[in-house]
Amino acid sequence: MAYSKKVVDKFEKTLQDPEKHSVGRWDPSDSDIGTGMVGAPACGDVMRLQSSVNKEIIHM
Amino acid sequence: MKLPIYFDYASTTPADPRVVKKMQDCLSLDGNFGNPASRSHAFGWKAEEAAEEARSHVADLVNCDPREIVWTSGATESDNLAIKGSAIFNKAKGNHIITSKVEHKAVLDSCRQLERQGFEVTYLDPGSNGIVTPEMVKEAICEKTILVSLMHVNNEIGVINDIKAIGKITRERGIVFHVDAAQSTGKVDIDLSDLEVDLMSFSAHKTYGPKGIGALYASRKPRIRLEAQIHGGGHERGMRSGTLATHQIVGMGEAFRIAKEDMNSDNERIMKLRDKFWDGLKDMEEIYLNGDEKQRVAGFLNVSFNFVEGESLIMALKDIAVSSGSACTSASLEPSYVLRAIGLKDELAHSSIRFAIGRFSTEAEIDYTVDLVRDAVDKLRILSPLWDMYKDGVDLDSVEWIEH
Repeated sequence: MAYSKKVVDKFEKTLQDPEKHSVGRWDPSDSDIGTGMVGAPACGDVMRLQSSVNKEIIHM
Repeated sequence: MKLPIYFDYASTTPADPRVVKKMQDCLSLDGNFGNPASRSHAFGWKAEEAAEEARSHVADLVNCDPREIVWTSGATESDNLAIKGSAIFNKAKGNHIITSKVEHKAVLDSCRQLERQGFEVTYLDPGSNGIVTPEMVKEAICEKTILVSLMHVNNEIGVINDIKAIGKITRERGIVFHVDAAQSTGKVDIDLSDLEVDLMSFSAHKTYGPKGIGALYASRKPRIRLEAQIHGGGHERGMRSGTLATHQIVGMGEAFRIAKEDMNSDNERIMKLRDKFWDGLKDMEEIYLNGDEKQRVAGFLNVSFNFVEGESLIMALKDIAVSSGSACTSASLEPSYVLRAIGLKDELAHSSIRFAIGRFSTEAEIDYTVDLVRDAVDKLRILSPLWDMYKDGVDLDSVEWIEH
């Protein structure tokens, strides 16, 4: 088994319910949302991180 | 239906129950355990008889003389023996070898080894459909060429090379032609009386036989000369020493006998399953079938799912046993060299899966897999930033990525 049980569990749960695990997409054109993307498709990994800031709290 | 489902018949096959039965009779004291080289008693004679009967089964499948079959430990050894054995034997005539970039590692690494010993090797690029054409071979030939080694059926994408036409070209010029047929026995007709091939490698475990046994066809007319790679007793006409493993040989013989009987019905069945499988997937967006659409064997499908990350695809498909086009789990990030050689970009190569259907695959397994694959790809694409960008109409080739 190439990956630990923890990793596989997290993966499967995320796949079943992405929203619950903070995986998804906010509207990047919204002025309250900042979007960053890093990585390289050639290596097989690209990550997109979005944050939303209001007066008190940063949501990611 | 048992999980995980086995769809990796290109990597290996389970031994047919009939093969196992025959092998079991050659192991213990009350079986046919003798040394086939023991000339002086019945234990040896019986073992030799079984080994020769198996040899004739192999020869029958490919229509050659049994005396042209040499037992080896597998197609890897056959490739080594064929390539090193003939190149070194003929090195006074020349030092140029032609092969292709999509050959099995047993061929590529043998050629690399010969390069270290002063040989020059041309690694041909196949077309984008994966096929190496006779014209490509002809172009590469020069006066110092002594050997051409090309596979019959490609193990990763399933395409078939026209070895009959290539054989004509090499025979005309007195160049030795070696064909790795590990994946073709039982799938494609091989008629060595009609092919101008000098050496051909066979594998038992790709054709429902046991692992650890294979054979090399070494032509008698015209007689191919090889330098043996394994010495010690002169077995197999001096070409490959070592006590013959009766149980292995009998297993391979039975597997090839069955292959001759069942090839047509197997192919028909497998083609139906393959068509059902592909019909279930082909309307999906941004998926690609790798390799020529027509010139291929029935059961192998190498499919790229664009905008899906390879590692996660394998994880999401853990109910089925398949092979991926990448080696992400290894230290390097190299995708399959075969997919690279046919022109796939790295990201597409990383997202490729090889499905290989075989004799024991069922329709229920196909149906389950189609649903599983569709579901996994859809779910993974929802998570994929690249899919979002593609859907937004962004030209991903124009993006400058910053690596971390």
